[in-house]
Amino acid sequence: MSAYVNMELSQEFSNMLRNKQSITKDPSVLLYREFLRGNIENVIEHTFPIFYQKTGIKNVQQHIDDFLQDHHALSPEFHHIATEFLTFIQERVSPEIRQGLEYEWVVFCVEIDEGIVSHCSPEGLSNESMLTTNPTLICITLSQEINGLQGSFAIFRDAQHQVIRKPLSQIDHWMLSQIGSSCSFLALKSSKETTEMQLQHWLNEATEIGLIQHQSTLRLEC
Amino acid sequence: MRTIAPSSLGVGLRSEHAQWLSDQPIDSNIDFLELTIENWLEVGGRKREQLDILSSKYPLIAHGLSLSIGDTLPLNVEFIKRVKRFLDRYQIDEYSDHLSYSRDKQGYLYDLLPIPRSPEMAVYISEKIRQAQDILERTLILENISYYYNHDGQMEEAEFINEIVERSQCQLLLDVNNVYVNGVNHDYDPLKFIASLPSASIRYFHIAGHWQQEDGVIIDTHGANVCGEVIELAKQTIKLHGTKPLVLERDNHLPSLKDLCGEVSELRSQLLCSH
Repeated sequence: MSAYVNMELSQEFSNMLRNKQSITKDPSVLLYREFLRGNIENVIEHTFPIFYQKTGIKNVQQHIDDFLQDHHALSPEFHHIATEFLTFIQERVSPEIRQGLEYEWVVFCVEIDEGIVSHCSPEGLSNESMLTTNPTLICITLSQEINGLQGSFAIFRDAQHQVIRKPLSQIDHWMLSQIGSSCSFLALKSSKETTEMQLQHWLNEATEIGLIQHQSTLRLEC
Repeated sequence: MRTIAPSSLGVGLRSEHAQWLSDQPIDSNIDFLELTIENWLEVGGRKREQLDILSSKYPLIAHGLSLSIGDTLPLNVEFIKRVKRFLDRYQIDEYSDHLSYSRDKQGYLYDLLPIPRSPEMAVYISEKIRQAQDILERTLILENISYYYNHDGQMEEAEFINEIVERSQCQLLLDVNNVYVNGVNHDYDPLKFIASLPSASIRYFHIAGHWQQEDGVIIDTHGANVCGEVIELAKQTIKLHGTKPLVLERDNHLPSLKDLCGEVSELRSQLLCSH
C-alpha cells in the first residue's frame, strides 16, 4: 500500500465521519460519527450552557453536523473546540444568539485566562502605587438580557478564581480608560475629571472586588 | 517527591477530583497522577493553582489527545513546542499520546481515529515521531488505541507497532483494556498480541473499564470498574513484560475519589502482590 493510498484511505474515512449524509451501513462508521459529535456536544453543553438549553439538542446537533462538514478547525486542544465552534457559528446565527454565545465564551475565557490575579488591599494604595486593570478583564456590552444581565459589564476573575460580572457606569468606563494597561496613582489624582474623594472611593471599591490591582513602585508586592 | 517506580499505580487526574486532591495530604493509594495535557495546557485560574499544588505533591505523567502523530500532514510544531514548555515547567519526563490520527486536510476532528496500517505509513510516522522527539527532547510514548473500524488491506497491528518502535525508538503505553476490547471486537487473541510487543519498549500500562453493547460490540468507555477478564489479561501482561507503572483510567460515571482509590488498592493487591 503506497503512502499516497494510505493518505487517501485516511481522508476517505474522515470524510465519511464528517458528512453524516454520506450513506453507509458500516456500524463502525456510525459509531465514530457518534463519538465525534458527542465530544463536540459535550464541550458546547459545558461552555455554552445557555445557548445549549435555548437552542435545543436537535438544533445543536445540526449545528455540530454543519461544523464538522464545513469548518476548518485549526486548534488541536479539545477545550479550543469552544472557540472553533464560535468562530464557525457566528455568521450563521442571529445577532441575538451570536451575542449570547460571545458572552458565554467571554466568561469561559476569563475563567481560564493565564493572567495572574493578586488580591490587593485598598489600604496599600499610596502615591507611589502603579495601577493596572485585572489581567483577565474583558468589557462587554449586552444589548439584550442574557442570564439576568444587560448593558455594559466588566467580566474578570478575582483572586479566589470567581468570575465577577460588574455593571459599568460612565465613571467606571472613564476610570478604566484612564488606567489603561497601567497608570500611576499620582497621574490619576492630577486629573481634573474627578475629585480626590471620588477617585479614592472608586479605587477602594475597584481594588476590593479585584477590578484593578496596584503595586507600589517602592515595593514588589501589594 | 516520590519517583515513578515499576510498581507504581496512578490514576488519571480528573478536574472533578483535582480540588480535593490538592487540599488533602498526599494519598498513599496514589503513587502518581496522569493528566490529560490538553485540559491543563495554557489554562490559568483555579486549574493552574490546583496543578501547581498537585505537581509538588505527586509525580506527574502527561497524556495527550491531540498530537495526531498518525495523520498525513506535517507535525504541528507550534503545538508540540507548547507541550514542551508545559512539560519543562512541571518537570514531567513522560509524555504519551496515541498511535492514531485526529486531523485531516480540513482540520482537527477531536477523536482518535485508526491509522491505515502499512509499512509505508510506519516509515512516515516514525520520521514524524523522531521529529517530535527532537523538539520535545524526550522519548515519545505512544498508546495502542481501541478501534472500531478496519481499513482495507492493512498490516497486522502488532507488526505495525513493532516497526514504528524499532524505527523511531519511541516507547509504548500498553493499554490492556484496549487490547481486550479490540480482541473481542475484531476476533483476535489479545494475549498473543501483547506477547508480540517488545518488553523493553513498554514504558507503562493503562487499565480501564468498558461497556458492552447489545450487539456484542465493546466500547472503551472508561466508565466502569475494570472487569475480571481485563484484570486477568493484565496479570498475564505483567508475567510477560514485567511490572511497569500502571494507570487506572476512569473518565465517565465518575466514582468518588475514595471509591477510585479503593479500586486502585484492589488492583494493587490483585496485580502486584501476587508477583
